[in-house]
Amino acid sequence: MEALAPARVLVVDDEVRALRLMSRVLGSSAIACKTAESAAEALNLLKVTPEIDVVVSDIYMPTTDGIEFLGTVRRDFADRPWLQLLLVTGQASLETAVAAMRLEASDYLFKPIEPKTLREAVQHALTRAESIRTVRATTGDSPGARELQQIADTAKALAEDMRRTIENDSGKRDRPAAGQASPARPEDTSLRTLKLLQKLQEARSSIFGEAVMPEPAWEMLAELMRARLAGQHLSVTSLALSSKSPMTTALRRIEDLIQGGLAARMPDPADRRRTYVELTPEGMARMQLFLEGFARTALVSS
Amino acid sequence: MPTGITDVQFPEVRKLLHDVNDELSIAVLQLEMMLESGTVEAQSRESLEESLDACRKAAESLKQVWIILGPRQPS
Repeated sequence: MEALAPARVLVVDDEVRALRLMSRVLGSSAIACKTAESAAEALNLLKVTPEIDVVVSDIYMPTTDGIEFLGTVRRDFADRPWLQLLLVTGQASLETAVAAMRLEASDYLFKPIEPKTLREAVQHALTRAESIRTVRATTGDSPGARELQQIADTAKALAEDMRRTIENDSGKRDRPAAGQASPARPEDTSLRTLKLLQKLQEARSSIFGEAVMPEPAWEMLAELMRARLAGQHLSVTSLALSSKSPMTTALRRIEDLIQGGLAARMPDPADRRRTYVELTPEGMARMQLFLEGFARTALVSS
Repeated sequence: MPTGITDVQFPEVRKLLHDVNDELSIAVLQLEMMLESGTVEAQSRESLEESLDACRKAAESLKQVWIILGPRQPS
């Protein structure tokens, strides 16, 4: 029998049978894991097991709320920004979803969990953690570290642009108070954003590889973000061309983005035969979170 | 929509629902693992698949119960 690699996954659940089963599911895919029946036990295990990259935790536990536990993990292990958090819940609520986003949770699994779903989510989280660890391994005053610093600054600036745009959108409903700085006009930020995006795009593949997102979808998300910040409309065809991939692949990826709630089709009021695609508020928020997370991770490492 | 459940009872109802879902989760994982193992004979496989389907339907109904109850927080 093939020996399992050292455990990089920690599963937390107050229900012992669930722990045993999830451990078996992961073990059958050669993913070794440690288990904890309480938040306190899990925190102790994390302290003595630095190789843990992924924490899978039930949200509803009798002694400690799972969200509270994962918040403690983020706070107490801030020096391990590669830690990936997977939340397991039986109930989809807005409050939990918002809390999960704040914790930068990598995934959100609903009970009953299918073994395939659990394996894929954990595997993806492990890959992502590995990528972030690799980024952090680039330390010192090397050219790589300097480049990383520049990219982190770029991501931070982009996240700021996104934040302003989101605020600007909501400002259409609530005008800013007197004396408050006005959000940057889209045309003011478009050129800078375009340059920042280009820099980020060039560097992204060398740092993250395929771990963050499939290439065509990422290219199109970035293009949608650029268009949104520049106040432009993008037709399906223009968007597909920006993906630098075959049209059929690009169209499939556009559908994926729409199905995933990150983008939406908008009819052109001037010409009903044309359809635009634009980032949804969810897509904007996620891009902002990604950029902020990336900037934070890279800045911690340098 | 009135549910007839008081604020005092609400946390207990939530806990019971979580418990039911936890039990269903265990059943689903157990059944899936048995079916994945490939050692189950055809007739037993059919029974296991039907049980799995029943568990999934029960879980789906449970989600509807959550929706009906809504996000009311205990006072």
